[in-house]
Amino acid sequence: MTETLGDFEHLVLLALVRLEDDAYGMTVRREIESRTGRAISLGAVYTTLDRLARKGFIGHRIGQPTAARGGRRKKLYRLEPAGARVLREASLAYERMTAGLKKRLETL
Amino acid sequence: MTGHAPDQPPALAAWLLRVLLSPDDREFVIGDLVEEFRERAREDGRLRAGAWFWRQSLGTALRRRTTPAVDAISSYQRPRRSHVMDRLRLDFRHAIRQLRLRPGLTATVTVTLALAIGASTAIYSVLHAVLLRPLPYATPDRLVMIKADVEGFTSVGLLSAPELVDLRERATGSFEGFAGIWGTSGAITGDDPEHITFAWVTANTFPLLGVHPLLGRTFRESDDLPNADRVILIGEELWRRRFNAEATAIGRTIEIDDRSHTIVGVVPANLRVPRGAFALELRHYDAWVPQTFWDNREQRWLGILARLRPGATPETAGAELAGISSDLAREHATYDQTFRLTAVPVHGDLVSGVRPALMALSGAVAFVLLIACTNVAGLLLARGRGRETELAVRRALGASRGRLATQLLTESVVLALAGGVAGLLVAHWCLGLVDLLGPATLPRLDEVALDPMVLLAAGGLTLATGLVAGLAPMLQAARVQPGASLKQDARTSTAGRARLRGALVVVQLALSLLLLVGAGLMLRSITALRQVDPGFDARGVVAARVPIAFQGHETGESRWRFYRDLADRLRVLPGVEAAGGISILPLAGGLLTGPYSYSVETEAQWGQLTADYRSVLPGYFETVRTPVVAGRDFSAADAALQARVVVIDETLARQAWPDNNAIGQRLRFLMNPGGNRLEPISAEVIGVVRHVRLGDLTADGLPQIYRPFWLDNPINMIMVARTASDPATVTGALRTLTTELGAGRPPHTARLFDEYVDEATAELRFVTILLGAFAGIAVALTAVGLYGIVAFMVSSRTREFGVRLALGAQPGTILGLVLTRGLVLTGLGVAAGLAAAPLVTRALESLVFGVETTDVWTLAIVSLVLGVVATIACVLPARRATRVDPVRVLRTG
Repeated sequence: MTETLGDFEHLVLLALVRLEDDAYGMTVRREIESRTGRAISLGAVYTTLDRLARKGFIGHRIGQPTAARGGRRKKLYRLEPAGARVLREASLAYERMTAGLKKRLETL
Repeated sequence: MTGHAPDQPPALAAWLLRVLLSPDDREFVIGDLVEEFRERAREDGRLRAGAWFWRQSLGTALRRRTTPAVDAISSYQRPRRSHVMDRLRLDFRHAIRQLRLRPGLTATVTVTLALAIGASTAIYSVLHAVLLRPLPYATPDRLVMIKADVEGFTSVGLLSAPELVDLRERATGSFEGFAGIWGTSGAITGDDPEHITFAWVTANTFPLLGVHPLLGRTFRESDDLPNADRVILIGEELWRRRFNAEATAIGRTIEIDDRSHTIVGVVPANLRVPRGAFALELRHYDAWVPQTFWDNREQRWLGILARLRPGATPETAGAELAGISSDLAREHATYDQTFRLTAVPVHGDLVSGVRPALMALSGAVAFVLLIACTNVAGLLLARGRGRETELAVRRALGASRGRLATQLLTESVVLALAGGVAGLLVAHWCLGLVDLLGPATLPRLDEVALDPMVLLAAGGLTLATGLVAGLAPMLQAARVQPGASLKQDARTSTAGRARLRGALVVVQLALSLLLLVGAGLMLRSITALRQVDPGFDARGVVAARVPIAFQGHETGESRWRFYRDLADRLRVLPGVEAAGGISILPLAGGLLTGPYSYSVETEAQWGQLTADYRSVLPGYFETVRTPVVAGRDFSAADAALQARVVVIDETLARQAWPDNNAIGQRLRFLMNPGGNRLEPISAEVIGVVRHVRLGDLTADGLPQIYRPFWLDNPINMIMVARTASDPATVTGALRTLTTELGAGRPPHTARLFDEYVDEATAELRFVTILLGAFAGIAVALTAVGLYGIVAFMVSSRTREFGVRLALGAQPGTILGLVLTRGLVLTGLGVAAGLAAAPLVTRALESLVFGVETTDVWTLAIVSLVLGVVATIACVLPARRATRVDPVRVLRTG
C-alpha cells in the first residue's frame, strides 16, 4: 500500500534531497521559502518533519552545538529508503501529469 | 521589545518560545531561529530581523500542531512530568487555535474588552492617585492642620506666631511637633533675575513631614534661629534650571530679594504642603527658607502643620487643644470665649470635595465593564452548532464535564488577557486625555500614572473579566449531552442558550439605562448652571493680584494712595473701559466670612449671622458689571473723609430691612484698623448690589458685605480691568505701573476672569463628559448584543420562515414574530433599569444641580432614547427574515 505525499511533505522531502548533509530546520525552511516564494513558518516545517519521521520516511541525528546557535544543537535529517521510494513515485507521478503541458501552463 | 546585545534576538519572544514549546522541540527550534536571526540581522539590520523573529516565534509557538485526542494517545509513550501544567498548556494552545479560527469574533471580543478594561484602569488610576494613595509623607494619616475659630470666623487655617509657640510648649500630649509655614513669592535678584514662589518654614518642617532631600540635607534645628547663617533649600525644578542638576549646587549661594542664602540641599519636585485659609490645597514652592516666626498675637498669617503622636487620635488631640484654647482665652484679652483651636486631618480635607464625583465615575465604569463582560459572554455563547458537535465528540471520547468547562474557561481567560494587554494601551491613552482635559480642582492630578498598584488592579480586572465572561459558556458546556447533540436536531440546547443570552441582554439594557440616566442628569445640571445669574459679567475682564511690600507702606494712607493711583492709571490705559480692585475675586477661591448685625436683636446674638466679607476699591462693581440696584458705589469723596460706609448685597438688604430702603441704615461688622486687629464698626449703608455667586456657582451662598478699602487697608488686592487687550499686555503694564508707584513687589501674572469661571464648572463638565462617554459605550455594546440575539434567532429559524412564507404567511407577520422577542427583551430591560434608577442615582445627589435625581422628564426621555436604539437594533436583522426565499430554503432544507 503506497502512501501519498501531501504538498508540503513533498516540498520538504525535495528540500532534504537538495540539502544532503546540511538538512535541518532552518535550512529546510529557507530552501523552501526562497524557491517557492511562500512565507514558511518554522513551526510548519517541524510539524511536517515530525510527521514524515513518524511515517518512517526520514530519520535524524543530533549535530554538534555551535556558537551561532547560542550553544544549541541541531537535528539533522536524512532520507530513509521508504521515504526515497515514496518521493520518487510522487515526483514521477507529477512529471507524468505535467508532461507536455509546459507551454499551456504558461499561457493559462 | 528588542534584546540588549546586538546579536541577541528579542528577549520577550525568546522567552515565549521557551515557555510554550515542548521540551523535545525547544533546543532545536530556538537554535534554528537564533541562527537565522543573526544572519538576517547582519543582512537586513536588527529591526527587520527582530520583526521576523517575532513573526516566526508566534507562528511556531502557536502552530505546533496538537489535538487533545492525539496528545492523549502519544502521552502513553512518553510519561509527562507535570500533568496540570501540561494540561493547562494544552488548553492554552487549543484555545488560541480556536480563537484563530474565528478572527471576527476574537477581534470583536478583544476590542470590547480592551475598551472596558482600559477605561476601568484609567479611572482606577485617577481614583488611586487622588483618593487612595496616601500623601507622599511619612505616615500621612497622622498629619493635621491646626485651625482656629476666632472672632466670628470659623475654621481659619491661619494662626499667629505666638500661638505656634504656645502650641509647641503646651500641646505635648497628643502631638509630636508643630511646624509653621508661610508661602509668598519673591524674586531671585542678582544676575539672571527670576520670579519664584518660596515658603518660610520652621526648621522642623521637613522632619515633621518625613521628607528626605534629593541632595544635601534639610534644615537643622539651629537653622531658623535669628542669628543663624542664611540657608535655603531649593526645589528640584529650580536646581535643574539654574544649576544644571549639578551636585556642586550645594554650598553655592542664591540671592532672594537682595538677600544672600547658602544652598544646603535639594528637595523633590513633587513636594507640596497643605496650605489655605479655609479650603486646603497642596501648594508647590520653588524654594524653602527657614524662619523663626515672631509677631503679635493678632497677626494671623501662619499655616501650622502638626504630627500626632503614635497612639493619639484626632479626638484626644481635639480635647487637648480645647483645653489649651480656654487657657489662652483666659490669659489674653484679645481672645473671646468663642476662641477654639482644632486639628483637622490633612488628607480628608483635601479630597472631600471630589470624592462624590470619583465614586460616581467608578460606579459608571463598573457598569461598562459588566456590560462588556456580558456582551463577551453572549458572543461566546453564540458559537453555533459546530461548537456543540465538537464538545459532544469529546464528551463521547471520555472528556469529563469539568475538563470541557475548564477548557472553555481557558478560552475566555485568553481572550481576557488579550483584552487586558490591549486595555493597558487604551488606559495609557485615556490617562493622556485626563491630563489634557482634567479639571484643575482634581487634587494631585499630576500624580496620576500607571503605577504597580494600578497594573495589579488591571491584571485582577482582566482575570475577573475572563472568569465572569466565561461563566455562561461554562454552564453551557456542563449541560452538553453527547447523544442529543450529535443528532441533527439539537433544539433544546439552542433554546436554553437563547434564554441565557436573553437574560444577559436584559441586564445590559438595564445598566445602559442607568448610565444614560446619570449622563442625562448631569447634562441637565450643566444646563441649569449655565442659566444661573452669577451676578457679574466675567467676559473681557482681566485680573491680577498686586501685592505691595509692608516696608514703605506701613500706613493705611500710603496703601490707599498706591491702589487708588494704580486704579486711576489703569483706567487711562488704551483699551481699558473700567478698573477697580477687590480683596478676593468671585469663584477664584478663598473665602473670608465674618459676623454682622443690624438691630438690637441681632446684636445680642453676635456671631450667629455671618456674611462674606470683601474689601473693594471704587470702580469694582462697574468693572465686573455687578448692578448697583440701589444707592451708589464708593467715591473719592468717601475716601477723602475715610467715611464709615458700606455696600451690601440684595440678600442682606432684604433680610435686614425687608420693608424699608436699606440706604441710610446702619450695619455692624468687623474691620481691620491696622495691625491686623479686628474691630467691630458701625457703618452707613450707601449702596445695594446684586447678589453674587462668590464661592460656588451652584450654591446661593451667604449675604455679602463690601467694605471700602480704607477700613482694612489690605496689602494684597486683586486689580481688575475691563479691557479688550490680552492679559499679557496688562501684566506688562502692571509691572511698569507698580514699579513706578513703588509697590516694592512684582505683580502676579494677569489672567482672564473667565478662566476662573470655567474652572468653577470644570469638574461638573468633566464628570458629565465621562458619564456621557460611558453611557455611549454602554448603549453601543448593548445594541450590538441585542442585534446579535435577533440575528441569531433569524438565522436559526430560516427554514421555519421559509415554510411559513411558502404556506402564504405575510412578511409582516414574520417581522412581527421576530420583533416580538427583541421588543419584549427591550421592555424588560428598560423596566428593570427604571426600577433600579432611584436607588442608583442617589450616588449622584451631591453632584446634580437644579434637577431632582428622580426627575421624571429625564427618565422618560432616556427610556425613549434607549427604546429607539434597541428597536433599530432589532429591526435591522429582523428585516432579513422577511427576505427569506422560501423556494431556496425548501429546496436545500
